[in-house]
Amino acid sequence: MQTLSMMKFKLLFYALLLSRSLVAQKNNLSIELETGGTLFYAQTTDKSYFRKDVIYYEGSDYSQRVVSAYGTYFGGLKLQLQSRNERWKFSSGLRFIQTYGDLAKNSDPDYFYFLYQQTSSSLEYLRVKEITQTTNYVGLPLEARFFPFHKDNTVRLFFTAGTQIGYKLATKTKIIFADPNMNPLASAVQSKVEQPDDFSATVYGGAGLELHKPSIPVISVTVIFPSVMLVNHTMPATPLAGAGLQLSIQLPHKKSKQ
Amino acid sequence: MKNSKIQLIKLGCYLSLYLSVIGCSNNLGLEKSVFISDPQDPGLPIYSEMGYNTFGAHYDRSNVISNNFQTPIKVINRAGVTSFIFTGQRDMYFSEFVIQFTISGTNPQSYSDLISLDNSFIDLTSSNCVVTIRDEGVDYPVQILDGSLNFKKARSVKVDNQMAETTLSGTFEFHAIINQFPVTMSSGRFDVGVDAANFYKY
Repeated sequence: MQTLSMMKFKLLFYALLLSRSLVAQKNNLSIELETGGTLFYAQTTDKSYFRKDVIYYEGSDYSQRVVSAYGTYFGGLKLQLQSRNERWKFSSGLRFIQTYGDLAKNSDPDYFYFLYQQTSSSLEYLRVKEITQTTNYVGLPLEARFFPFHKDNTVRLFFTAGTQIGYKLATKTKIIFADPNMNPLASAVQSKVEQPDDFSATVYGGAGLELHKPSIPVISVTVIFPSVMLVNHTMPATPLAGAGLQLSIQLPHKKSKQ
Repeated sequence: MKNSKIQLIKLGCYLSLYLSVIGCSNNLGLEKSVFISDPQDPGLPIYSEMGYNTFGAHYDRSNVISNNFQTPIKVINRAGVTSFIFTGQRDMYFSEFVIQFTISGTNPQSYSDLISLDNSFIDLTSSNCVVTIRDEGVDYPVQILDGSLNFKKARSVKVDNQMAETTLSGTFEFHAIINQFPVTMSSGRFDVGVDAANFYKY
């Protein structure tokens, strides 16, 4: 009987401790509005539908003069939880993400030959100046921040690491022809260009500064580097690694009475 | 009235000149040589059927290949006798090397007629075929012992719905006596484009 009472007392004691901890955590909850963007170094992949443009006797095997660019932009809302010692912040929420991919020549002539049709007796090319692809995702970010120095500083340095998973909402491919009379064939060319995967995944790291001033929300600026895509989810360009900037404004949760 | 007619004629001439200039500069990219090494024979271009303006062969133990400085092929139809002239270099020393296959009984009127060569096999020992080699500026008649020129693929190429060129792709090889010495040309391959600029008829 005494043992059962002791057990009940211990359970009650631990429950009280947990609830006190939860109340304390609730005081460290805040909402964060964020926006930012990342530019990636992208490698053009070898595709059969554009005629190779090769520099002869360059010393290497061959080089593509069709080059690609890739970038992402995002905006969102996160719920941020701060640790009791105010050294850590963890956040997650929802992001709207837009990715932008671009394929173009970087030498004269300023167009490349897109293989439109091929039969045993004919080849048909279209002169294309640029292919751009824009894709919209809804994303789930998971982020952690570590503050190595004193919590009472006005400007606080932090290091961050995070991951983001996105689900594709829509994608749009645009073709710019050297001859505008070829515009009616844009949809046929679009159908030959790869579509992004339904899911995207990115991991990133970085460092930033948080500005703490009375009477204004906490503002933070983060330099993102590196940012690496785990899933190749774009058109004929493989994003390798990138760097970017993130700006966020923290709205503190109202403190409950103790 | 007379003045306006003259003005119209002048306008027509300028427009024709403008269009002809535009026409000449429309397909600069197609004229370029795209040399992709054959992984099984790295000194020679890979066999392709895309009009990449390359050719290559082993000439005994040296390589004869196209380059980016000289037109890799010229096709000349002279009174019903057609010559296919491949101009390149021998090895990496840029000494000019020319192989000429002259075939009688082939009478293309324009570069677009070359599509009739698709899947054509030519026995180089036949009486209607003459082979000539120019090496470092000296012409050598070639006494063919055995060999063939094979047009495996001939295709018309359109760019932006306009006829641009005819591509000729194939292989060649032969054993021959040149300047009283036996010579072997082996693993010969070509993938070239012929348009109004490198087709001649007279």
